[in-house]
Amino acid sequence: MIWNIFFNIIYYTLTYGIFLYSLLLAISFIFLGLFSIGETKDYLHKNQFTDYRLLASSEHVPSVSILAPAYNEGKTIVENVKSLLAIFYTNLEIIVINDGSKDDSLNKLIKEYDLVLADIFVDSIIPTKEIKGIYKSRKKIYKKLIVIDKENGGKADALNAGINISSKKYFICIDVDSILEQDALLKMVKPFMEQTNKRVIATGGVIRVANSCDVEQGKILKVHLAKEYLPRMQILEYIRAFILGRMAWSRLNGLLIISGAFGAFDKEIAIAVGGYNTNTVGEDMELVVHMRRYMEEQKLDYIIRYIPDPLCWTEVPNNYAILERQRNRWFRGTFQTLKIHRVMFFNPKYRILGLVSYPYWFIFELCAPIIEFFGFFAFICFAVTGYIDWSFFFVFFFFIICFAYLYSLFAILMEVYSFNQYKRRVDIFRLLLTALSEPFYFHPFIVWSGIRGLLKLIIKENNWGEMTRQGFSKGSKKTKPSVKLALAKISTNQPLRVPVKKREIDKSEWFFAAKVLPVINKLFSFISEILISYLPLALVFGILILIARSFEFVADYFKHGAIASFPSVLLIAISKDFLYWITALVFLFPIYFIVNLIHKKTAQILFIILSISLLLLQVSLSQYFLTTLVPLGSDLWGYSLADIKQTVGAAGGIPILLILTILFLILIAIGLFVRLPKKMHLNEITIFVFIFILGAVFITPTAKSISKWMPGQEYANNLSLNKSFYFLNASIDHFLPSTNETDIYADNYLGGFKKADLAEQKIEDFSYVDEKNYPFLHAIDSTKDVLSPFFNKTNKAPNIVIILVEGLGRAFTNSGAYLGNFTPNVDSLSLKSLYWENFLSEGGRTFAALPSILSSMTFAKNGFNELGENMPKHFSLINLLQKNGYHTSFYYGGDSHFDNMNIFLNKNGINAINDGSSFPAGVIKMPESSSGFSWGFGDKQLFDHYLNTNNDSTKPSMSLILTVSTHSPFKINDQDKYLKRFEERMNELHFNDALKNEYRNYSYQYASILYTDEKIGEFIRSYQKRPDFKNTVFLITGDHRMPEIPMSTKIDRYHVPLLIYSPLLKRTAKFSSISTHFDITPSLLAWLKHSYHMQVPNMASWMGSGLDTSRSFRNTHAYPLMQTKTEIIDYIQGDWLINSNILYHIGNKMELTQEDNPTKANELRANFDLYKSKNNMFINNLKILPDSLLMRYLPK
Amino acid sequence: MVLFISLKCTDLFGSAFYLLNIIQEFMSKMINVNTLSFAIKVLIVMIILLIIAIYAFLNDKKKKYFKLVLIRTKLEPLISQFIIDESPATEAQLEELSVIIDTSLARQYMIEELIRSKQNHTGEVAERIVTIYIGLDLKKYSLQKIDQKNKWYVIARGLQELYMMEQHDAYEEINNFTNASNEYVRNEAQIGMIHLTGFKGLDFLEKVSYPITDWQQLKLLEQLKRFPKKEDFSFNIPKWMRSENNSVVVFALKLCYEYQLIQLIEEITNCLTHNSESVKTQTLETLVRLENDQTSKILLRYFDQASRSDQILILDSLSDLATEEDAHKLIKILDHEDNLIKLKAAIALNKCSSSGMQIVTEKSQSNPEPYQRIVNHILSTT
Repeated sequence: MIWNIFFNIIYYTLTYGIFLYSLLLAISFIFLGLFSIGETKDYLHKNQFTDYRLLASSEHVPSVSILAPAYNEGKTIVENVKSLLAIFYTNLEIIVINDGSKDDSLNKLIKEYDLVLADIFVDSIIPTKEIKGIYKSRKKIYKKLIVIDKENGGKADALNAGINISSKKYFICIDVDSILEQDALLKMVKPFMEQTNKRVIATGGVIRVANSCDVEQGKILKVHLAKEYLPRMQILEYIRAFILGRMAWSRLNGLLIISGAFGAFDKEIAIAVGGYNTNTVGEDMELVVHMRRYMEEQKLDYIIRYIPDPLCWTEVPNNYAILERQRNRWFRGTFQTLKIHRVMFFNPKYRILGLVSYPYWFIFELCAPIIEFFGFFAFICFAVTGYIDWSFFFVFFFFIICFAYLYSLFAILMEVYSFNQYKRRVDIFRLLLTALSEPFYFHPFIVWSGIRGLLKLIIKENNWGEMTRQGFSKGSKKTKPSVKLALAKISTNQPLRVPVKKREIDKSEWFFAAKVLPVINKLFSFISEILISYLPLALVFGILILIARSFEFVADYFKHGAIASFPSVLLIAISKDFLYWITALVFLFPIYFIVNLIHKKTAQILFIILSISLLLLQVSLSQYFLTTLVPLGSDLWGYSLADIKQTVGAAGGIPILLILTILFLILIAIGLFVRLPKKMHLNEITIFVFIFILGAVFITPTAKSISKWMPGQEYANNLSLNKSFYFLNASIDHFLPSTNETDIYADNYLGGFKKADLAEQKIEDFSYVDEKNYPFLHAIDSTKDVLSPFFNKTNKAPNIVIILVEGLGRAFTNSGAYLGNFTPNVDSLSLKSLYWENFLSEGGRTFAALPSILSSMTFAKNGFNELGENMPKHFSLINLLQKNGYHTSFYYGGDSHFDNMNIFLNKNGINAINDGSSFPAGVIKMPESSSGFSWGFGDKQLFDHYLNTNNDSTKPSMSLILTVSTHSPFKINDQDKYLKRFEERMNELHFNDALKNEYRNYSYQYASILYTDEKIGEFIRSYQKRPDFKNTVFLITGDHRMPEIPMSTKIDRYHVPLLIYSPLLKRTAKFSSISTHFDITPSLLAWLKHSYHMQVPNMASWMGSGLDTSRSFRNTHAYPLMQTKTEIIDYIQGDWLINSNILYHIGNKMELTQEDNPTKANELRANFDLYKSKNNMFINNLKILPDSLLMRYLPK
Repeated sequence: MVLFISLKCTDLFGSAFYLLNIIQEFMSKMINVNTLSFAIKVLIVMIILLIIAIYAFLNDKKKKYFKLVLIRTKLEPLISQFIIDESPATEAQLEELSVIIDTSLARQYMIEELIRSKQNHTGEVAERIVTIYIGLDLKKYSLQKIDQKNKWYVIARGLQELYMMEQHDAYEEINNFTNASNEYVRNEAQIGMIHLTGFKGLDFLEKVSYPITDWQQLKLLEQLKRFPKKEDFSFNIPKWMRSENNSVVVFALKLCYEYQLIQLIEEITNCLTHNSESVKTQTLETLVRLENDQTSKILLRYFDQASRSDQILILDSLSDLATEEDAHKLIKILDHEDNLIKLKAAIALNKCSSSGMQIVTEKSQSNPEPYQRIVNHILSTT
């Protein structure tokens, strides 16, 4: 069960997650596409007005150093340097860095360019590996050339050495083996000349794939689409990345990467950030991200320009092994870079960089392989295990493929529209085919490379990987063996002073960037600032909830012993606490937010006060639960303050010690609230995670699943509940009920369930007379007298004594009780009685017992008795028997004001109320609880009082005796005797020691039961000696099942026995069919009418249709049950129970199994709603019987 | 109290949860086979449309290309004929041309071809090219382009055509655009002003409020080079130097640099107190260019307030400008904390003072790092 739910949560989180991910990706692709269109169009138009020739010769152009690191490039180095030297640009310097090559690169250069060692001063602003020598040419024509010979330190280190030596304002890094377009350098430099109030800190260009192109003397002669699959695939990738991706990012000024193969940088900023990072394999990306971060931190306006023209051609790997290493290096490079700069993640301080670029790279570039890989396998698992069907799997998969293909096509379209490098139709066709194959072949490979990178990261191996190049000149193969990265620690340099420019909005700036983004930025930064101060408090609150929970568990253990299946209870409990926590946070946030707007400190204090109040509520509700074993719901609101005082008093009151403990706990909580948040250093990542969790809980059905989680057994279910959550939910429902009840009299009402349906199921139903005015008034079937066959007929009307036993649940009463038979006296009586073993009380507490038993009345809003003086005149066993000459009386050891019992009885004109106040002086009361409270007189005194006062045999009498000794706090006189009796009884029941120990947690409860049982036995025996005994009928039933012993099901609370014992009985019988308190009065009256010709109306508003005397298990009734004074959430119909919308099937031992049967559930719900709307109608008009009818039977 | 607040909040949250419910419902509606199949159908239709679009573009580009080739084969001989013929085009020839350029594509090509030819020719040939432009009544189209309602690139193109074809009577129209909000329109208009009226065209500097990029300044200077007869515009410069637009100040300084306006040296020097870094840098460059016997003093006096890059610039120029008198200050700079500045100072010192090298060498003995390397550097580079 639990695993199933776990699986469910994983499934939903994954499906929703992957769907959301795809959706987000799709949206960002669309945006990238749109931005790219705009930027490309703009660029193409602007290009018409640029004459690059001007740049080459002017002396007003920026000075530039070209940095070309070389490692073992001996075969081509001379040629490559020659093509660099051929670049026509006035203010240029070419720095070739020989990074400790093991081949003859350096010698070749020395020879070719007539180099000599020059003792040039190097200011090592960026620390690098040792420089062995700096060479310059003796020839004037090569005066631009500087060659650095240094120890091997990796590409980043080599470039840093180049930066140190460079004397120019900008530097361009290039891979020596890439091929530059004629005007590439001019195009790269021009953006630096276009800076106005924004500093251009770097420019980058497009890298194009040179495989299969005609190349001669370092120039591309003719562009061809690569002939091999891998390079062709990469052409597609490059088109996508450069034409769509970077173009769009450039429009947003959100570029995070400039290709290491060709990029220009502002040297001053590059030095300020310490140059290239030698600790990452992705130094090119790291530098750009670092420079941007630096500019953001210095609050300088800056821009990174991107040139979409093809500038640089490079050869891409045509070999899976090399490609795999390249991609896995890219993955690690990205990971390391993002990790180094993780402070920017969703950090509004970094504006677009932190809010858009970084998260995008994190989610869609870094996490993509991981999500795709695990998502795919999870889906396969789901499909294999049958959790989703294969058709869904394939459709989902196909959907993603289609979308990816669409994106590739769009990139190709943009390429054709803009630069159109591949002009032949067949080339484009081949590209289209290549794109089609991508998801099945190339893409999984790339994903796998990413995963390999991840694995490598996990085992912490930093390796640049090997890159074997094919060589452009056919036949000649050159190799570039692996370069081990030096792990030399870089000491951060003092950042250089960069001239500060005021941030102004460029008038020509694009609307989105100028107007929309700053607002979003501000809002975001504002909310995240508040969240950052909110979350630590929230976390402390969470910790305190957990502490409160552990107290509850510990207290429960000491009070009630170990609970079965503890791990699952614990797990569920924590999940529910978590749900409560997170819901409470959502509710508290707006309060915090609004107050924070006014004053930050006040908001924090208010939060602390509110959460401590919630915690106190939690503790007191726990306390309540531990005493009563049922969680407090909205029933609290149904009681008057006096009732509450009485109950709390009964439960032991609030001792000083408890108050002190609570004060102490409050102090500790305040301490935690003040101390802990200071120790938490939360950043935007935590906010992101928190919001993610929030989303995962509320958007997926996780919250619903958690709230439905139940360990199974009723007591365990209740224990696992978060009491505050339960209470608050119930209270909200109580005060703001969801008004989804059906108005049956509305014109559009289509009918719940027609009577025919009930008849078909053999469910009793009434023919209502005037539903619009008297919703419950119905005719009484005069043939329905089920009791006569069991009784001998006498001439004198029989006396009726109803013994209503407090808390007498079937769970521990009579043989077959699942907790064991703790009522030997009642049990032996049951054998001489008509005995209903599957009988139900109508209420979960005493409040419902009298009106249900004596007048079969509807519940109204908070129970019929709560109507108080507004109670309409109605028929009852009392007034109808009185009309037929009976004397009626009520006996109770406590105060009859409780639950308005006196009002109800007086309304019915009872002859005598013998409650606590009527007891003669000298009779001893029950022992007082620690707070000095006693319910009144014990059951022995009660029965004695009855026997002493009710002995007028001139009139037939009807009495109801309500016992009280089995009520919490279970204090009885002679307690020790009955505790011993309890031990004996356990022996009689052959309990083993473990079981005994478990039962001893409830010894007071059981002792009181044994006591009352004994007193009932004594009472009957005493009665037997009285002359009126032979003409008396005893009914014994429970008002509800005692909740202070853990219950097993939702119906357990109502499950009580009913015995009808009388010497008048012809025969005894045991009935397994279900009937309820509602059925008692209708059946008694039917019997009396039939057998004694009493005057009984043939129309009434009885809820009950009468007792069912079927011996086999069945239920012909359809009734609501009311557990607490405030909610009517149970409804039985046939062998079904609906409880808070959950449908259960009732087994023949009254066990419940939850069932998923929507038809049945709807059927019950419809009938339940029908009842509720009738009840509502009654609440509104208080019409139960027409006056004419009342007048006939109950004249004033 | 707590309860009260939370109860009051339920309405608010009711709606929030309602929203979440909607999202939940949306998700379950989205994630089902039917929705996805429908989405796939939509995607497939879009894929087909994109493929069609790709080929349509490809075809269109190809067609355009061949059309242009066709136009070119017809136009090229005619145009070169005009250029070589040394006589103005006849009515008949113009008639022949106007038949060919009846499409806008051909017309645009014709205009571009004329502009290209004009860029490569001067004097009589250039004048003849203009007559063809007028004869074919192409000015009409150029003027249409600078209609405000057009896209910026059309306007910019129109401006370019008008000034390249020496349409002096369009002066006013072009002048209107010199402070246009679009950078490219503005730039073309500014260049046009200079192209048509030479140094007088610089008047726009008074009203331009947008920054003039380095790139644009470069282009403007190039345009000015077309006018060998230097009018005296130096009286305007101090006015521009006081402009609130920093780039105008920089440009004025560049003009001083380019045209050696020695008479303004005092005004130029005053610019060292400007608050813009780029102005100060340009001032230094101009001062160095207009060097006189006071320059090294001015530079050294300013040295301490200069930014690092400007300090390097100063020291670099001092290696040519400094005299024995400046040695004193340079020796002080030798103790600067920045190694690069020490080096540059040493180089300058070595150049200007006979005892310079000795001083550095002495320093290197007491303080080998970094002075020894500096000495080595000087020895190896001289």
